[in-house]
Amino acid sequence: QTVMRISVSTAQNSHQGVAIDTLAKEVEKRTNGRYKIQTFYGGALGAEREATEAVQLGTQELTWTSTGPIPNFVPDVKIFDVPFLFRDYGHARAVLDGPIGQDMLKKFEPKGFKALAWGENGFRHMTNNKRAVNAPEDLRGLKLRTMENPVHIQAYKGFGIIPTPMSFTEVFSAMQQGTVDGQENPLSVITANRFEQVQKHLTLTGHVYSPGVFLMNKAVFEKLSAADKQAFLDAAKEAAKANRARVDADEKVAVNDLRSKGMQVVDKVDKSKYQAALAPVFADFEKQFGKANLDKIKDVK
Amino acid sequence: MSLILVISVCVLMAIGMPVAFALGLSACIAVLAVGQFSMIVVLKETFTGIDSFPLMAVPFFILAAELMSGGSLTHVLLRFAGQFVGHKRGGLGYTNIVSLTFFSGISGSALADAAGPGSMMIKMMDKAGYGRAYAGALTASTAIVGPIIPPSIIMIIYGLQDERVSIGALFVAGFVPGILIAIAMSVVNWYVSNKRNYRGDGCFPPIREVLHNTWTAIPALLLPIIILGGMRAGWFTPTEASVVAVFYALICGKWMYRTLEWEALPHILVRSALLTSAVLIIIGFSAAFAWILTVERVPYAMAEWITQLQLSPWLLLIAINILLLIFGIFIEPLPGVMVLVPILAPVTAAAGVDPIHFAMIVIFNLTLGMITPPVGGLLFVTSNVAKIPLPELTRELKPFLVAHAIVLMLLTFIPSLSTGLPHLLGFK
Amino acid sequence: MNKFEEGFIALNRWILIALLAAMSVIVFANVVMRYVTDASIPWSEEVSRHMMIWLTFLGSGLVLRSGGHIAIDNLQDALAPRYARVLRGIVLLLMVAFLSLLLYFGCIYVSRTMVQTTAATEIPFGYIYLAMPLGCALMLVHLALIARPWLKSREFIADEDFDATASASL
Ligand code: NA
Ligand code: NA
Repeated sequence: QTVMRISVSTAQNSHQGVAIDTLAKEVEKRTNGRYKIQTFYGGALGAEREATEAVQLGTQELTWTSTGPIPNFVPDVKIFDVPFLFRDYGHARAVLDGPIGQDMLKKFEPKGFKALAWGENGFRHMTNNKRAVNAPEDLRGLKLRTMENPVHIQAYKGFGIIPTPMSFTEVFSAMQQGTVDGQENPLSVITANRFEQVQKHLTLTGHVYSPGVFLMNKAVFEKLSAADKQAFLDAAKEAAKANRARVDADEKVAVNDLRSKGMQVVDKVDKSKYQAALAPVFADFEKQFGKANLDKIKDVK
Repeated sequence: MSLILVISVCVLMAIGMPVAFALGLSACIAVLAVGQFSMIVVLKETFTGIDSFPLMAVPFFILAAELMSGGSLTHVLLRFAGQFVGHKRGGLGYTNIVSLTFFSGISGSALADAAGPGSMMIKMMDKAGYGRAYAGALTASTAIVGPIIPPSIIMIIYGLQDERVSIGALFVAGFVPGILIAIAMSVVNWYVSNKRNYRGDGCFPPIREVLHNTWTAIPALLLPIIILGGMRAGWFTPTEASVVAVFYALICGKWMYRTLEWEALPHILVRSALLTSAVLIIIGFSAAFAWILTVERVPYAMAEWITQLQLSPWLLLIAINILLLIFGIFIEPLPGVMVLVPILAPVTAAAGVDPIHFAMIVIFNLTLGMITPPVGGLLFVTSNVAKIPLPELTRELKPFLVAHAIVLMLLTFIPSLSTGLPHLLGFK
Repeated sequence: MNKFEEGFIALNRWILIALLAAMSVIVFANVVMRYVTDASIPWSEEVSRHMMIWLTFLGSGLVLRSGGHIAIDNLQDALAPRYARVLRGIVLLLMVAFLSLLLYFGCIYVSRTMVQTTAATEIPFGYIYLAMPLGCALMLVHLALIARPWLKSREFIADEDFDATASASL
């Protein structure tokens, strides 16, 4: 029996925990227990960037990570960070499971990864403590914590937001004390970190889709027999299904849950207005990523 | 693998290898012995341990204290404290306690307290006829408030180890216990001074002098208020507060007290940098050490074992206090927090102990270890700067240790002493 | 101290001074900027954090020189000087072995992380990790410079700004 390790940055009872639990179970089943996968939650083996690096170096065999740190390893993935690129979950999943997504998975290989399958964190939404955001104009002047992601920062500046990169560990207290007005993350992250305790307003902007990916060290994958390789790939597909099903389930409950805890939620969002507000930034993205590439994603039905 | 790890770290520390390198080398030995992992994991986890923004408060608070304590600040605080209590019987003892307590609002560690105003006070008390060993014992015992009253390096490290508590909440939580410790030390000083008839300096100073002393002390006394107030008002995060403290200290030293010379700045910077390096290298290598325990699931197993004992919260706290006291005899607070908190904090939180309450118990208890022989950083430093043989110092320590034990019991059994203020001010 | 040693120490010190000063200024400037101009410096956190890593490894050799790394000396004190010296010899060999090990794997680590870039400044991560092999090389040099007095009587080289007890109880 060979033991491998997989990690996520959130708790076991979360869409990420479900993802690796399912993967571990499926691999064990499909290889008749010849491979055992130990699961680590809550960043016990390090945050997402550290875990990704560990898989690349082979100090850890597997990880599930959001694509947050991925552009620093595989720059091509940056294109998925373009705001309002994906219309809805159906569209995003179709793109990732279709030829575009599968081609992208191959781009991980020269960097020492075998990317087994796409999962997801969900669409990112904005919360803040200042005012209800009913239209893009309301974003002007809000101080939002963002990731150190150049594409995000450029886009948020387009809204007139003051992007404030800050380490995630400081976000809660920074919002509590008012150092920043708000942040943007998928609902799963918002509820898991109890941001409703320190944030009054939520707008379901869904401005950026945050994919996740099952990564395996390439050398470790290459050593598997052909049948075992297939077993890992199939297990990852099953795990991705469980991951997405959990995101769907969480989204249904989350909004009501946050409302009942006192958050003001704006759920009628006219995305075309937000897109219009970003027109100048989009022109820049078209230059950066190629208009054809962006259109190819947008045209997926 | 974990067994090899623990045995080799014990052996390496015992033969006198510096703690940081003992932790790192034992991680390497464990990796080599098992042969399952690449050695790179030790390096990688060492970086992960240091690569943390909140950790930057360590160098900044060290630097702020170094900037503040250079020159006349110590005198200012001593004069300010002395005017209120100096004329009483045992007056210099009280002056020592009060000025150390104020000074701990600037410094982040016990050592800074003992080596700064502490060493100066020992000299003064010695001249005034107090026993030198008594003065040293009083200083070492009181210096413990250094990391209890904010800012505090050990609290920053603790906050990073246990995500249930914020560093801001810990800072606020330290005020009441810190003052409690100062009061306990004063009671001992009152008792000993009466018994041995240590005299005060007679009279209350004239009011003009009081006003002047207070006026000059205000900038120094304001620092903790600026730190906590600014954090509470949302001007900056706890980490940023530390760098605000640096520039505040610079302004105080350069333009208010005018004791800071530009030529001294490189010396202060290099000293702070070296202190930082000494601390962070331990943090780094102990992260590599902890990684091996984590992949071997040792914390989970230990937590499960303690949980299945089904102790009531009080019994659990008493058991942990005993464990910590034993640990504290041999180990310094910093490695103590790094090793114990990830294991113990989840268990006590699950048993219903308020994480802030538990944090204060751990921090106070481990800091207490600095004055319990044989391994006690504060003892070594005090004996060194004051030139007092260790056995004499230890003898005079006894009543102070009793007083500390009583404070520890109070903190253990009255949670609101720790949690009251942070909850009142809305810290989590 | 000979010329080489003097220059080496001075250079090491000035690098530390520059790093700590730069860290302070960058983080403080970010706080000030946020209030004065309403804009943040997007790279301030990352750059200062990585400077702290460099500071840690480049400072460690100087700390070693003045005996600032916390160690438990009780056993050595309890032994006769002759045996204590033997013990220190073992510690010294282990230190050299450990630092060489880190130096060797540090180089591999650096070369393998050159393909990864940092989030904000997008420079290769290997440049950050270079701090470790370089720091270990520095520590080896510092160790060689103090080896003799340390082996003989556990003496360190006192520093006007930093001594063995300074970090004892941080
Ligand atoms: Na303090
Ligand atoms: Na002790």
